[in-house]
Amino acid sequence: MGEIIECTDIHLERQVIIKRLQPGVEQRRIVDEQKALAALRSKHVVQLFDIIELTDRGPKELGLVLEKINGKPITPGAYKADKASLAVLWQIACGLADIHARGIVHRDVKPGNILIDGEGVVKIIDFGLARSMGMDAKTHSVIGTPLFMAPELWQGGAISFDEKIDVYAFGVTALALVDTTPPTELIARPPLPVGGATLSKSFAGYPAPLINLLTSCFASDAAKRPKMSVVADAISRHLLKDQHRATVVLNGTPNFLNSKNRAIKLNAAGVGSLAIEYDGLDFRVTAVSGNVFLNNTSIVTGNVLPGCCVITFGVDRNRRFVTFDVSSPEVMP
Amino acid sequence: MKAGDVVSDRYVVQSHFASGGMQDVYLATDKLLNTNVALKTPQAGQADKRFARSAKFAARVNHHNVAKTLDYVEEGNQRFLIEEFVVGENLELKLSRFGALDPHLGARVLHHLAKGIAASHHAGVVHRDLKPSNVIAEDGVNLHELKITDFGIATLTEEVFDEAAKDGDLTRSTSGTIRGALPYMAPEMMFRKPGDHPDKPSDIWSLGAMMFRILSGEYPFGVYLDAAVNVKNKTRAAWPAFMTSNSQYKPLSLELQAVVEQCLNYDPASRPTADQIVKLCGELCYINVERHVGTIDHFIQNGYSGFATGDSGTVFFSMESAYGPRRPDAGRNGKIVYSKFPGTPRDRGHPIVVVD
Repeated sequence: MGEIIECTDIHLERQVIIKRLQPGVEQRRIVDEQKALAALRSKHVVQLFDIIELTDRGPKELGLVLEKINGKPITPGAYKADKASLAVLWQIACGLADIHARGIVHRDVKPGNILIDGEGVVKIIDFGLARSMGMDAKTHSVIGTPLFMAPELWQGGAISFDEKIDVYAFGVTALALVDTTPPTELIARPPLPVGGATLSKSFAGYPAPLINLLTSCFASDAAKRPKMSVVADAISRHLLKDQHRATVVLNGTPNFLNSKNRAIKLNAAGVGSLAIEYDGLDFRVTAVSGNVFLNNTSIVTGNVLPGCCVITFGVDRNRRFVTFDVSSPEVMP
Repeated sequence: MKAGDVVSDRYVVQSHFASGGMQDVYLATDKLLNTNVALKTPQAGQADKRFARSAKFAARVNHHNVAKTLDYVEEGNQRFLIEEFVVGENLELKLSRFGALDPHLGARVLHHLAKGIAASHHAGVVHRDLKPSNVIAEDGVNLHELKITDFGIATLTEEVFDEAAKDGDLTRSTSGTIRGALPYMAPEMMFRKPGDHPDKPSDIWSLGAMMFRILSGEYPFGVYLDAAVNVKNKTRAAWPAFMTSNSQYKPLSLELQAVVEQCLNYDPASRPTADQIVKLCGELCYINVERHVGTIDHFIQNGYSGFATGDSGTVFFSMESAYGPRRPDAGRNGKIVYSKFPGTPRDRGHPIVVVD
């Protein structure tokens, strides 16, 4: 990775970073990728202002003029496995999902490349700048930072890789946030498969489904690692735990189901009845009798209510309708 | 400037986009990064020094709910500010289609605007001219991206406001800039005396006035001189009945109205800060699911429910989901916006809002 020069933009009187690019065949790829990133306009990607020619060292060199983030990199070990660290992981996952959707691989995801700015927004820096040789996603030498490098990057000969190397590195980053002593399997070169039990110990404190998902990021088989967007969605779901609200309108009066009032039983005399319970993530049918339909779909105990629905009791002329609408706060950085 | 003009060998003018009271805005292409940008240049007679200062102010704010300042160029005797551009339409234009936003989409708008204002206030930048036309959003009925633009405009308008205040009554000004700002202008700004410098709370009033308009479709105090008279006499429009007439929407509508009422407090010190509004918004429950546009096909069950078809297929809807001043029908009010939820044999559309 190239040298970093801190500068002041004298027109706008603000601090910027100039990153000197190392000459070589990779330069073209890096410049193309940086342009693609700029067009993406993700809130988690540092703004590229300009690409300039530097001559201060004699021969012409390219420099990227980047927004300077007023923030610090996330500190390994400074977090507990709780909601606050999940919120950070969610933002990292969102940022990586944004760039993967455009076919860009970061190549060097690690805590040192993840900053949190003054507004609490995660910024991922140094996209695609990791040193590599060869063309496209084929390389003959080490790229990235050893602990965060997926097993496939350690193979000899021509290596091909995709965005799943970022998923692996994301997993190691998640681990590093809460535990600074990596399991021996991860320190091995190349890293060895690490047992779920080992990781679960560090991730204890996160909800079980998320522990499983984070653990799957470490899979030796890249195909078995989840997509970053799947990870982001799963985390955001858990960030909203116990914060949903269902508005149930009965005879014109709104009733609320939430963390304080988790269960409701709806009775339509002689036609049917339905009991619903909120488990902190979903609203679920716990008992049903008679003719009851959700958005015209017949239901059984255990079904999850589909966001917003009309509950219909009975058939034909005796039908009664109850509206059931689920809302929640918006998860925002 | 005209299409094809090149600034700084990098920005190619595509078209004239808008003219404010102080500057002209063009849509341009950044040749280097292959992106669309807004190119702003002061109108003749504007002091270059102030334009440069406004650019520096705007450049201090770095948040995704604020249009980013990308570059500043001086070329010959011309000055240009390059800003992030969102292909789409501003909130004023959205409102002309929507009339009023339903509380779920409205809550989202409030949340994002409060975030952007909070970030700029943290940076010590006050907008002073917040209004729907200064909020840009992408095309369509979703408001995923909302960005406040023209931070730094206060530097440009300062002199206009100072002059008007010196004449004794800002509300009598003939300046287009002042007239455009009046419907959303805080009382301490409207009736300021020379030397007064309304601060952050004036943005909060503007946010409240803007949200009143967004949620109700009406200006809280009217326009032009009416706005000044009504603000002075404390005669604000009432909240429309449609916001609370439907039990499904009433709870969220009331929560939003309460936030807006706090913003429209006549005592600047009693208004919530942007941070406090962000916190309140963080607790608001709203339906934040992708919106679709459809046209009503027909009604069934004596008009209790119906079907609508859009680019994403056909949905079933119940009239109990209808929200807004216009009641959906198969005629003039046949174009609706909704989110989709799984159902048989059709997904269910909800909320149902009539749009143009």
